[in-house]
Amino acid sequence: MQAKRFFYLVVLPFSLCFSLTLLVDGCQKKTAPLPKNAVTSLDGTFNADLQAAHAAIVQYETDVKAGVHKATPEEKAAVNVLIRAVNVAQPLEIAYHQALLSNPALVPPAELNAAMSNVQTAATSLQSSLTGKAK
Amino acid sequence: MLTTILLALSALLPSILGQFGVNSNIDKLVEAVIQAIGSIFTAIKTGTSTEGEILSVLTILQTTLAAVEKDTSVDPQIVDDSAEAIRDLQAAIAAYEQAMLVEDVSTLTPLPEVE
Repeated sequence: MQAKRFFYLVVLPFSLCFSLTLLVDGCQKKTAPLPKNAVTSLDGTFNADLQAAHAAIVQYETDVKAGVHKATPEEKAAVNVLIRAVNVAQPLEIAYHQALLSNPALVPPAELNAAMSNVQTAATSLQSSLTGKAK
Repeated sequence: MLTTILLALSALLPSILGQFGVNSNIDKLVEAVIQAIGSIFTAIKTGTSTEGEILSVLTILQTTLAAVEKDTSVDPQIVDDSAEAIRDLQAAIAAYEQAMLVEDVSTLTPLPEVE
């Protein structure tokens, strides 16, 4: 029982994320068709990732505001760090997408790569800060 | 970068994971969420998903959540966190699926902070 709990408390979350990073972001031979309006697959991927984060955050905020979900001050503070990171990345992706329309060969600017990396860091911190809720 | 979404969504899971191995309904819920994250996002990203498959996974999530909500031995905060994690996951899945069909950056509007 203890080994099973350790596996699911510690090993699984990290291995899940690591393996999914490899599986989904690196090693796929099959990919979905380019989304309509996307200029490059990276443009499409950045947008899709931000759209998913955006939607999850909107759902969360709606539920907290309506009293549907009771959030602790610590949880809200951690979510706000993620929100700030997403708010930095979104306009950068929008600008990159617009720039691609006239120059499809453009590589993502360092600023955008850094912003997307910060979103991931903020999400990691969010998970770490809430680990203390585990019983 | 897809893991960004997974990490954010799993933020509420630690409180649930703490119950893993203690309550069979919680076990089923955690496994269902992990399954949903693993299979749905992968399938959408590779273009191999079907509406039926996505609906099937989401149905399993709702069913396992319903069992947790009925289980009076589960801490109400755990039930609350479970339900919220699934609502957020479903919203993310729907948005991701749509974004992989059509890119519309105009919907990436600034988000207010949680008060």
